[in-house]
Amino acid sequence: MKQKQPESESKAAIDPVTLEVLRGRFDAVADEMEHTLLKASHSSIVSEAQDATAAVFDADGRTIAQACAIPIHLGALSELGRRFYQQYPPGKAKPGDLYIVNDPYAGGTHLPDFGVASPVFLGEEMVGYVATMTHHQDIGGAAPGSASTDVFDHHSEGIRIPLVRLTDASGNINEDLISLLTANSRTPDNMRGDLYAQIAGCRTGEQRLSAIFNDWGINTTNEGVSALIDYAERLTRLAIEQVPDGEYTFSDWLDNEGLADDSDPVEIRVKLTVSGSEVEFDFTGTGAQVRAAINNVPSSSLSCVYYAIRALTGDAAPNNDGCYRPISVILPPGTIVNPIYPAPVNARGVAICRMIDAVMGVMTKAVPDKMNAAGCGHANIFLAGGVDGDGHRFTGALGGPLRSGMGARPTKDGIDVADHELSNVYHVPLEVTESEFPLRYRRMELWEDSGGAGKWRGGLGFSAEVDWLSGNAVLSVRGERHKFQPWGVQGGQSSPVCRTEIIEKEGNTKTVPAKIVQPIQQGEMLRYWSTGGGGYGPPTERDPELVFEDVIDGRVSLEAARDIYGVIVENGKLNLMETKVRRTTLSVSDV
Amino acid sequence: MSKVNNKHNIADPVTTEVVRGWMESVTEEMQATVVKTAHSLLICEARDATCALFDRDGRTAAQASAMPIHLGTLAELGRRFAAKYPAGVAQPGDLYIANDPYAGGTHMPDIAICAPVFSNDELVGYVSSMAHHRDIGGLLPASVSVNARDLHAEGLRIPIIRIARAGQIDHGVMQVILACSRTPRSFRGDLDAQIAACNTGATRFAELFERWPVETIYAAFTNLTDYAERMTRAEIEKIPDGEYYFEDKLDDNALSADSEPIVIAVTMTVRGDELIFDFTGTDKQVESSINNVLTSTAAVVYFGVRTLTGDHVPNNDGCYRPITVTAPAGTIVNCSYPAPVASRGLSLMRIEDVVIGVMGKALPERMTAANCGQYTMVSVAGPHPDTGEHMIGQLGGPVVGGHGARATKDGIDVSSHGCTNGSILSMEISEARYPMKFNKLELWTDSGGVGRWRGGLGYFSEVEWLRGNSSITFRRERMRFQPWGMQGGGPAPLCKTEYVRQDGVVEELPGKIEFPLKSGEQLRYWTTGSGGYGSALQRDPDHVLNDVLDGRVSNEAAYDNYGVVLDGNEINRVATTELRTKMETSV
Repeated sequence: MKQKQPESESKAAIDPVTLEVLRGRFDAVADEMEHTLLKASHSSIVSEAQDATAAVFDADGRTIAQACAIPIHLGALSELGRRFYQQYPPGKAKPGDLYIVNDPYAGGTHLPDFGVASPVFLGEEMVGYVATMTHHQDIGGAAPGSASTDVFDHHSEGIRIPLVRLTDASGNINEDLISLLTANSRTPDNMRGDLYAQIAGCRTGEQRLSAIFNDWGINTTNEGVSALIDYAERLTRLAIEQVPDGEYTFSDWLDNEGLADDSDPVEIRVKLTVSGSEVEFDFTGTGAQVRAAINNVPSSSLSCVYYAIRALTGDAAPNNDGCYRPISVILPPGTIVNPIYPAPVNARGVAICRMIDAVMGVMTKAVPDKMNAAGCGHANIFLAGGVDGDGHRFTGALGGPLRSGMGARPTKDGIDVADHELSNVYHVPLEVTESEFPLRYRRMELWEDSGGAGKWRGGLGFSAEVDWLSGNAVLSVRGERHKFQPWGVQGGQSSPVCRTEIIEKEGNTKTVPAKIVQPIQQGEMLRYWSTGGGGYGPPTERDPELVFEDVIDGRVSLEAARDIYGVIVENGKLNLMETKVRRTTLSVSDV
Repeated sequence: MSKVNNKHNIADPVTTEVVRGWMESVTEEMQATVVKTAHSLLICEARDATCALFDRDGRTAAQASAMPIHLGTLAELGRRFAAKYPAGVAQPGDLYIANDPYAGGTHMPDIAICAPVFSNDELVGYVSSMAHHRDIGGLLPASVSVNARDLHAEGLRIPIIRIARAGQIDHGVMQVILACSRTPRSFRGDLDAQIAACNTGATRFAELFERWPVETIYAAFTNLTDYAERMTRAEIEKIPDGEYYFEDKLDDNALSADSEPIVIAVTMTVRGDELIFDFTGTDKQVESSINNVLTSTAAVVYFGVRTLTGDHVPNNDGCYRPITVTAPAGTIVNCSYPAPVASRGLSLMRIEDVVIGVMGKALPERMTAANCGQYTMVSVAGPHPDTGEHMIGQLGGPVVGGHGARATKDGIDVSSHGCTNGSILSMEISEARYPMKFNKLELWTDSGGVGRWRGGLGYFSEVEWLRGNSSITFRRERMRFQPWGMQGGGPAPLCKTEYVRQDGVVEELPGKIEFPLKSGEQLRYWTTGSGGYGSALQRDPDHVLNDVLDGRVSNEAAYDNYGVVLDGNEINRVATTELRTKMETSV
């Protein structure tokens, strides 16, 4: 798969002030849609974790603006815009229409992400589309939460919605279709509530976008759209031009094929070619698609690349299609980054983390002073479904941090336990989880020494203990980084691997593999360690004062300070003399 | 056809009979339409489909004689369709669809399509077609895995919704329904066949109302349902009043061969012309998908009682009125949402055994010994080695073994029987579709339970996989508890499965298993017969000799079980009498 679009220059003579005002208005439409979505949604995955995005497209399906929520939706919505345009172009789209889609093989990402869109009209003329994308809590399929790694194929993953109209001929919501969709969810009320929030988001967006075209006129506004897209393209090209031309390669590995703990690791290989203001990411050499549901369809894989490039350009460039024009991506069919139907994809997040690592890794080769060490490289996903002691049913994802430590930066430490990179969602508070599930968090704390050592230390991961209080449940665990450590850069060290345990009623500790579907019952305890990010630069170059602070804060142990950083802390004091001696020995033994 | 200006509003017996014949022919024509136009073998060949007409309250007015298990099912769905789309809501050109087991369905592969019928803008009734679809998504191809842990893992669930308005299919709903299937093309073909059947049925049913006024036809309905009710009550009255109890067991929970057997118990209370079937005592619903919703259990009971009344009674709501079916919620015969139900066929056979068994206690001369009590469904999945296309389906050949011995006759060898009498899938079609061949398919000697009337025989089959790999799913029963005999008749043997590996090693397999079958490997399976009726020592020695000559009974069994002494092809009558006397006294 190759996507390359020619550079184009705007011929429109629209003044910079108007342009900037337009940009602000477009962004405001996306943001307001996003707010409507978040405020009106029912499930905590949206209202708390904010796993939802809104975007605005022009009448040709080009992305004009996207609310900054989940970067992983970047490529997805951009692709969906094109699909809406293809299937319901001006002339075919009618005022009041709503469209819905979740089919990953038709522009979606994975089945739980529902895209809902509507065309926008000013009078009779169609001027654009607005769309929202929400991760729905349960859409049926093999196991509660609809994100099981162990499924037979795509059809085992839940309800599949090709791009269809959600409204009838007279513009009313097709209640038959909504009933069909909700009947296939284990949490039908949440699905209905979240769907209506998406619809509300679109309706809000329609009014606001229409108002913009009304205020400036259709022609001027469209010229502004083109100018903004060209502007984003120019900024992106400028950023790319600063990257030295050349070919760079990088590989990272997934622990295994996603099911058997002892199956082969899966390689994600990227070759980055920079030439002038264009970049090409070539995934040739990446491992074949796997039987587990951790495959990524192109719109999901593209999001990783788009995200990485967006990280170069920063906030200055508007979030629109222009950002992607200088980028081409090769995704060989039949690989884990471009699987062939009906490969399952719902637990794609597992592999996305590694794709991001590989993409960021290859960029560290090209621009080491701009890129971070590896982040924790996995998401803490525990899905539970069952019945509590009083017979109430529950299903969903456990709360707490989704991600752990962020990679150390070229000028700063990584952030401890923070969402970062692609998913960028908020934590569902433990208290919310405790109210939804029969469990109690006995402990959740930073994990000492889990940040990769370096001149700049990787952000720390955490460890947690969860008591199961009543009833029983089936727990789907989707871990990673149980075998391959998050890497450091420029001499920085790796962070440790993750670990998961279940303490049985009799007190036996059972280490469970990274991915498992496992029953858990009253009296049992789940315990897990989620790693931090890699370090940046040699640990012996870290300011001893910073190491001392880390020791005092419990981020770094005395032993690690001595053995890895060469910093001696005695009786709660930093011993600079000993440190100097120690560091000399460490440097010598290093060589 | 112009409306006859009929003076009477009441239907005389002749009119009633003509209306009955008309309605039955409508359902038969609908059934023929489905079977002739469907795409998948399950419907065209195995005829796992049925059609019915309902009055405007959703009461069954007529039903094609198809799979008996669908009788009670459509009866319930008819009421539900009518309740959701009554007069005033239903519009000409509407089509409705449903498969939700917790809203009147049985298991989700059975999808019902229903159309309201209008005469002069007045709603006069409904027609409906139900068919078993090959794949509706879910855990595994064919959508009947025992491994689903809840209903949602079993595939697409369709509540009662509208799928067409004013003759226009709702594109959105249809696309979503099709998208869930692994076999969307044949799925569409099969749904279209059902829609065609409903259109045909609606047209023909409406024509009936051009012939007579609505009142006359409704009077005929009443006559017919009352008649069916009277006939059913008359049969029930012949059963001695009292309480009768019967139980039987399923081997296991269908997941693990060493799990506990599952008891299905029923108490039948006969009081005058009413029957109550109470399943109290039956085990709780299980983790696997072999649970039954009450509709499904009731359908088996209706079938059991229907065997008493015979062909001359029309298939309508009246047949069900004298019967009450109750079962505690949360049991395997009345499971609670979201218990999985896709493989309910497995336990359905045992429910049928207990229904027949309990009726046999009250009416031994009318009922049979146990049937084979299981299906041998061998599902195949995987890429075809020649085309790369996904193979999904069942191996052909019989799926059931012997039919139970009767009070006056032997059981029938290897034949569809009971409440799920689908036709046999042809072996030749399987051989053409899949890279496999049947090395053998033959009657299994001594698999009919001994008795004065011998149980029908089961069969032995040997299948060889020729090229490539496939994933085979077995789900069979009667590996632990034998089909029982009646009135002194003997039980039939247990079923058995063997797998011959490439290296020639033979492995015995449990009743439920999924495993890869590779090129050059073989499957051998023995599917049991049915129980015998009456004492084997009372069987006519000539019949025993015939059985021996036909290979149905072995020489040893003739001697050991029947007490028949054979000298070559002759009966040694003196020795036989002597042996039988000795055997009788030793008992």
